[in-house]
Amino acid sequence: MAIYLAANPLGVFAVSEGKIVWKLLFGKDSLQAAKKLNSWKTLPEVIETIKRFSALTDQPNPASEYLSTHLREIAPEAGFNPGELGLFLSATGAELSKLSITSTERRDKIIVQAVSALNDLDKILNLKTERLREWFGLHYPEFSMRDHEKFVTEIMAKGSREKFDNYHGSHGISFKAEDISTVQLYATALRTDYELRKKLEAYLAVMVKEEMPNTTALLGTLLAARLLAQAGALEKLAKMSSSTIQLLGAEKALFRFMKARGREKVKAPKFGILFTHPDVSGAPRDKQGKIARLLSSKLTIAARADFYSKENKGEALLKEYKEKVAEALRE
Amino acid sequence: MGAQEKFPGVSIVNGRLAVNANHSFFGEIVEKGYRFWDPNRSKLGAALMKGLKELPIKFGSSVLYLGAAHGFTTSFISDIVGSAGIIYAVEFSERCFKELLPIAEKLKNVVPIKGDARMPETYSWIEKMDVVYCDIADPQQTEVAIRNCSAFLKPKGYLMIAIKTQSIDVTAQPATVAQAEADKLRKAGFDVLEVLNLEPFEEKHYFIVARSRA
Repeated sequence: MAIYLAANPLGVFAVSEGKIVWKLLFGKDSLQAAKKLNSWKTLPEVIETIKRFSALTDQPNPASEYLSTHLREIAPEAGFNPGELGLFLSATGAELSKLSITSTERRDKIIVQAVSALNDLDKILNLKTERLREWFGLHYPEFSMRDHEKFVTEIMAKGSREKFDNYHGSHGISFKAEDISTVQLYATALRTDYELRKKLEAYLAVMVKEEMPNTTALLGTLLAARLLAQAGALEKLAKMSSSTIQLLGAEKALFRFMKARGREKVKAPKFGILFTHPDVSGAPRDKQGKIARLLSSKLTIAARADFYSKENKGEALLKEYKEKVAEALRE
Repeated sequence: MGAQEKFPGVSIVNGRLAVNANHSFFGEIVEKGYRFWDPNRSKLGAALMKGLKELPIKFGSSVLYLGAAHGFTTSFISDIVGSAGIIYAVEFSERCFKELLPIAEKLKNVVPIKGDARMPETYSWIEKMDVVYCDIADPQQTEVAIRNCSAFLKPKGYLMIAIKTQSIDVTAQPATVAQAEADKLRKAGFDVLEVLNLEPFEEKHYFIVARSRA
């Protein structure tokens, strides 16, 4: 008669014909029980028992079924009274889960947070710079400087319009000393945000290249990081179909299209954040969708290589992709 | 106070849902032994406010809770089943789980399981349950619930399932989706006891209570 093995927080049990024929109890310490339950098939006593009875260990099996039906009857034999059992199970479940959390942590989650921080920062920078432009514009509306960061640096350094090069009078209102020093204070704080943004971007570039070299080869560091953030995790990205990757970031448009079901003139989206790739945004309008599709098909392979094999095939993928794009543009 | 007990341990106090408990984990109000239960934050709470006729979760029940999230509903079920009952709370998302864990450790009758409800074999060490409660936003949620029932539900046990119709089919009518899911349960050997629309507490959500025929 076949003998089956199964484990629960109380211990490992061998069951044959509805009876326990062998057992190894884990004891009353939750952490120890969780550790043993987590890798019960590798415990020396269990390995010996498997050999001795040629016991079967695939789960679920008649033994696991027996244990889950009779847990409450087995507990007193393992030394637990009914009041203790619930507490012990709760604590062991917590310990067991903690073991699985620490073993599944990956670097990609840090990237996702850093990208989100970068995205937040971009919004903040735009908002604050706009405010500074309007504020300082009262004083010196003639001053024009397209580059945001340079604009901020200039105001931080000079403050008063009289200090600017080529100043030939202004229609703006005059600022008192404290008006100027306050605007300068705001500009100085803003300037540190720009510094922070640069540091974040440099940090991300290194992380992303290390964690997902193949995807980075196709997209560059920033877009690769954004794609990862949109997917949520590298594992998720690696499991996505290429059509899903193509539309990452276009979920709203996609659901609008699905709901309309062709009844109204709602077009299917052709790309999400991939649009920010220069090959897509720079292509003629009728080719953009096609190029997004070519790109996402290569990205699927790249993301899988990054997550599973860790093989470096970025250059080969990029070459294949470039050839296909050239072909598509010739048509 | 105008308090009326709807089910053992579950009352309506001046029009608000409450359980008998004195602790608070999510900033909910506790007054004179009543712990108030916001039906806008809990689908089971919403189902109770919408006139659920039978509550299979009782003092001493064992419950498998799939999709426990941060543990809000779980904590109220914990109050209902009391120290004689037990809840196995399965949550897949690591972020949610990290918030669930400390609450489970305080409640003492909740067994937290970081696991994937779609793969019940990964937590096959748990016991047989009186009730399986399923609230996962997955297109296959009913199939997942049925699979967990066949692994862990006692004979004649109950299944309670919160259906998010939007994650099954965004294009179909919510009522049609709910009926289709109820039919799946009937085919899988359940009697469908109640189908509740959870509006206005939750939009496009239904709540089904079923009982295993075997």
